Amino acid sequence: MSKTDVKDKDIVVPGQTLAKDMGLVAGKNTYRHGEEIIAKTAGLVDIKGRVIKIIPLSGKYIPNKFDELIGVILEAGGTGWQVNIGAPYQAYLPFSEYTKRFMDSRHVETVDLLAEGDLIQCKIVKYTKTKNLIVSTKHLQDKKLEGGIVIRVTPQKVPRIIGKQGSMITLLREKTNTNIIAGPNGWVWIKSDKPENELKAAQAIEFINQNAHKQGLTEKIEKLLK
Amino acid sequence: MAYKKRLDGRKFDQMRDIDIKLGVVANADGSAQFSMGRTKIIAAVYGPKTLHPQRLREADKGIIRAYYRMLPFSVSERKTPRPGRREIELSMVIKEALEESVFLEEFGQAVIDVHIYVVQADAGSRCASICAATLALADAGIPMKDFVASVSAGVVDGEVVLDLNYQEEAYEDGDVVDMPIAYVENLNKVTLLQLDGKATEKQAIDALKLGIEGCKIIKGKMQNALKQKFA
Repeated sequence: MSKTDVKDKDIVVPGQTLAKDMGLVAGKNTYRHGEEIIAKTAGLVDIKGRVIKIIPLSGKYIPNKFDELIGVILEAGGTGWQVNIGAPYQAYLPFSEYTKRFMDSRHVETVDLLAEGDLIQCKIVKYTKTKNLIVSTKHLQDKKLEGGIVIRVTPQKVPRIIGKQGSMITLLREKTNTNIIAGPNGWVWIKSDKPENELKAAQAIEFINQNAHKQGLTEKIEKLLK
Repeated sequence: MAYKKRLDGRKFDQMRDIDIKLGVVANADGSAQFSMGRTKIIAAVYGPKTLHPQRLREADKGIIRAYYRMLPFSVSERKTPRPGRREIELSMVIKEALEESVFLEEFGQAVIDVHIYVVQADAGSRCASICAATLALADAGIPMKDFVASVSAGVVDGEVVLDLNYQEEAYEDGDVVDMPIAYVENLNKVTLLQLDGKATEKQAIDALKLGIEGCKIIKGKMQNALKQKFA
């Protein structure tokens, strides 16, 4: 067994030495300096086998290919749309990625399909080193999200909102009778027939956002929604 | 050698009291308040975010923009809010001290804005600013190699001292040397070194060594403060 200076789930800060061992692999949010593995960000240590990585507790959303998330249309152009996905870079939705069906761009106005300020569901299909960020709505029936509210949470807390195999988000949906979509960028869309249900779900999600690193979250949420 | 005892009663190698608060600016992605004695700094970090104008973008690395400003009431004589020569220079110096530690290659074409405001000035504000800024960067979850710790060392009337306050900087009975130092421990690199006044070679080296020791102590305090915030 390799030796580490920290235990699993410990809170570490940038610059902290995690291990001094060439047998270990420096995972996400860590770097190797000589023999040492050092933390890049503040977060929780996660040791799996030989890999040592850090789950950060704060920070902006950095895009990943195949991420499915919520975006806002910034501008409808001649051959596509500019989309804000809450990342440091602007995304582009080309006309060819809008739908699987055949559609002739010469006879359709982009503004008629999606206008400025519309909420969309999308998937990142291309993210290059030169920060060319392309999203797609091809795989979806409902591209536009009508009505509902959007709340923002810390992107790193989204896995807790979704839970293991979607356990938490299912609980939230059932208890509040709402439809919830949470993307890795921290934007969560909530929709229900009754506005009070939406607010109830928003409250619960805000509670998760603030208490994400604590244990026994599911019981607390169940209590909160009773 | 008239300077036997420091004006505020500290030991020669003793720093002023440090107070750290994190998350003081809720709107920002990360923020910190750093006080060192009577010097008080607030720093807020926004980003990484899209950089405008586009011509400033760099293809494979992000940039840091630091804004160091003194509030008009931070000193007893009102300071005009217009950024002067000194503030523009210090903004650049702070930016370069921080750049060394941040993994800028992870966000090409983007920018990190670091806003630093001096609420109360009592000497050593650029050092405290670097500490506040590095705490705010860490709070914002920006990947860093290590904290950039900073403190000033110097010579007052022949005695090598750590962390001069305003009284000492304005000491009139003997020569004063002020040397702000920023130090990244993991890289063993000094990222800021300025010197104001006339020092002998031995004095300068002694002051640098003392400053680096001080930086290590400050780094430990900053690490503890950040751990407490997330715990």
